[in-house]
Amino acid sequence: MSMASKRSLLLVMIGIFVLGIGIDAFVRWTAGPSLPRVVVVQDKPQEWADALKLGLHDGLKQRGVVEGQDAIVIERSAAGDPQGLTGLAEAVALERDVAVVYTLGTQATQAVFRAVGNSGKNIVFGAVTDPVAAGLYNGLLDKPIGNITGTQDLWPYPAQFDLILELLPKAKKVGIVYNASEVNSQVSVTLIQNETKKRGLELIQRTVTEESQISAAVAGLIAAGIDVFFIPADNTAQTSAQVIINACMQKSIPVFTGIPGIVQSGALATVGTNYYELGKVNAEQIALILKGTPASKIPPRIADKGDLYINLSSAKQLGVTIPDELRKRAFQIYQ
Amino acid sequence: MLFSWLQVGVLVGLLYAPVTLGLIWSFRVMNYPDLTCEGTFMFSAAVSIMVLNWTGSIFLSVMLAVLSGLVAGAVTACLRVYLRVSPLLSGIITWAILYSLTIRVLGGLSNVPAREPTLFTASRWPGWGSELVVALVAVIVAWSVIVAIGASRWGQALRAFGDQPWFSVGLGYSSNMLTIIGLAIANGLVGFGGVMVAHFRQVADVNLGVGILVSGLAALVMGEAVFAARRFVHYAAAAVIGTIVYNLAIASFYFDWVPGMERVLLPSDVKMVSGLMLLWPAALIARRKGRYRLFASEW
Repeated sequence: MSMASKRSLLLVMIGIFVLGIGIDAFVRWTAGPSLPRVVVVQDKPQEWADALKLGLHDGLKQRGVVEGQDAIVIERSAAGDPQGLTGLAEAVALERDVAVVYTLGTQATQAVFRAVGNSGKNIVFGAVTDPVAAGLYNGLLDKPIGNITGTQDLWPYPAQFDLILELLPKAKKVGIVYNASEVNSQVSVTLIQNETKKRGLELIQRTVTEESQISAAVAGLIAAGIDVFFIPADNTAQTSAQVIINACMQKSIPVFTGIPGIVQSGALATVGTNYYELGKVNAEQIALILKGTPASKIPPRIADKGDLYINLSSAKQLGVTIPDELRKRAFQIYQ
Repeated sequence: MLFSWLQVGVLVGLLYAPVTLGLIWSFRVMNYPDLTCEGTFMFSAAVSIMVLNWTGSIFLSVMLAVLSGLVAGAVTACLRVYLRVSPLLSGIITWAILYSLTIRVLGGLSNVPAREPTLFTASRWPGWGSELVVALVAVIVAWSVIVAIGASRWGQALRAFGDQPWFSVGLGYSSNMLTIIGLAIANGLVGFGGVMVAHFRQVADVNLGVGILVSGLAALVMGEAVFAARRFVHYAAAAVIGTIVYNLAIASFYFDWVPGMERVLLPSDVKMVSGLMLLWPAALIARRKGRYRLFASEW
C-alpha cells in the first residue's frame, strides 16, 4: 500500500471515529428519557423460537404492557454463528437501558448469563429444558446464581393432570413407572408428585432398572388398583410405551403421557408442549420485572397450557366419552 | 456506543485469534487445506471443560486440551502421509470422528457448563479489564510460539516445504515428518482457540465450533488485506488484527447506531450487514497489484 493511501485510510478511520462519537452524543442529547428495553437474544432462527416470540408479544399485550409506550422489545440474533453469539452476549451486557434480557434456548441463555451475569440486569430464559444442568442454578431451582428466571420446555404437567380429571372425574389412583437411574426422570417424577398432591390423587410408583422389568411393574400397578396410568418423561418407560398400553387396555385402564406420538399409538390423550404458551408465561414474568420485581424473586415455571391430542378409538374402547367442548379444543384427533 | 463496539470486537477478536494463527500455519505456511480445525476446536473445548470440572486445574485443562489438538492434527497428517488420503478428505475424516468423540468426552451430552473457575473468571479482579488482559496475554503467548517455531530450523524447513516441497526434502528433511509436525502445530493452535472460547463462555458445546473455518479464513484474508506483511512476524500479527476487524464487522450490527434502526432491519440481517462491513477491506485487496490467490496449489 502506498504512503498516500495509507494516510488517507487513517484519515477516513479517524473521521468515522469522530463522526460516531458525534452521532452518539447527539442521539443521547435529543432522545430524552428512554424507555426500558426488553432485548430478545437468540442464537439461530428456529421454529420454536418464533413461537416463543409470538407468545411474548401477545402475552405482554394481555398483561397491559404496550410496546413503544411502556417498553421497547428489540430482537437480536446471532444467525447461527457461535462466534457471533459470543460477541452478541458481550454487546447486550454493555447496552444501556436494558430492563430484561430475554434469551431463547440453552446456548443463548448460557452465553448471556456469562456476559450479563454480574451487571444486575434481569435475565428471563425461554425453553431451557434443564436450567440446573445448564449451570444457571445451584443444584436446586429455587436457588438462582444470578438475577435470572424463565421457563422450562418440560411437559405441561398441570394441564395434563387437569385433563385426566376432566375426562375421568372419578380417578383416585395414578400409577407411574420409571427408571430411577435416569437423571431426567427425577425431575419429571417430582413434578408429577406435586401435581397429584395438589389434586388429591394418590400416586403409586414403581421403579425399574431395565426395559425387561416393565411388564412386571405394570402388572403390579394394575393389581394395586390404579385408575389411570401415566407414562412419565423417562426413556425406559417411553421405549416400552406399547407394552404398557397393551397391558393397561386389556384391563380398561386409560394411559396418559406427554408425547403426541404415544397417543397416536394408543394412549388416551395428552397435552403437548406449546412454545407459544411458553412465550406467554415468559411475558408474564417480564411484565412483573418491568413493574419492579427482580428476576431472582420470580420462580422459573413450566407452561400451564399446551396442545390437546386425543385418540378416539382408545376412548371408544375404554368407554370414555369425550365432551364436544374438548373435541373443539383439540389440536389433533386420532381416529 | 463506539467504545462498547470496540470493546466487544477487540475482546472477541482476541478470543478467536489463535484459531486464525492456526489457520495461517496450515493454509498458508504449509499450503494444506486442513478442514480438521472445526472438529479440533470443539474437541479441545470439550476436553478443557471436562478436565477443568474433574481436576479444577486451569493449567492441566489448557495443556491437555492443546495436546488433544496436537494429536488431532497429527492424525490428519498420518491419514495423508501413510494412507495417501487426499488433503481435503483427510481433514474431513478426522473432523467427522472428532464430532462423535466430542460427545463421548462430554459424557453423552451436547452441552456441559464449567463448574470450576476458568481462565477468565479465576482472576482476583473479575470484569472486562481482566478478561481483556488474559485474552491479550494468551494471544501474545500463541503469537510468540508460532513466531518462535517459524524462526526455528524445523520451522524454516516447514515454511520452505509449503512453498516448494522438493526443496526441504532435498535438504534432508522427511516430508512425512514435516507434514505431521506442521499439522500438529496448526491444530494445537486451533485447539488453544477452542480452550479460550470454552473458558470464556464457561461451557463446552458441540455447536461451539460451527462455522469456525469460514470465519477463520475470512479473518485470515482480512489480515492480509489490511496489512501487506512480508515478514512472518508481521504476517502472524496481521492475522490477529484481521480477526479483530472481522469481529468488529460482525459486532457492528448489535448496536443501534441510529434510533429506530430495529424497525427497518430484521435481526437476521446480521449476516448481510457484516458482509457489507467486510467489503471495504476486501476492496483493498482488489486494488493491490498482482493476482490475489487464496488457493495456491492443485488441491
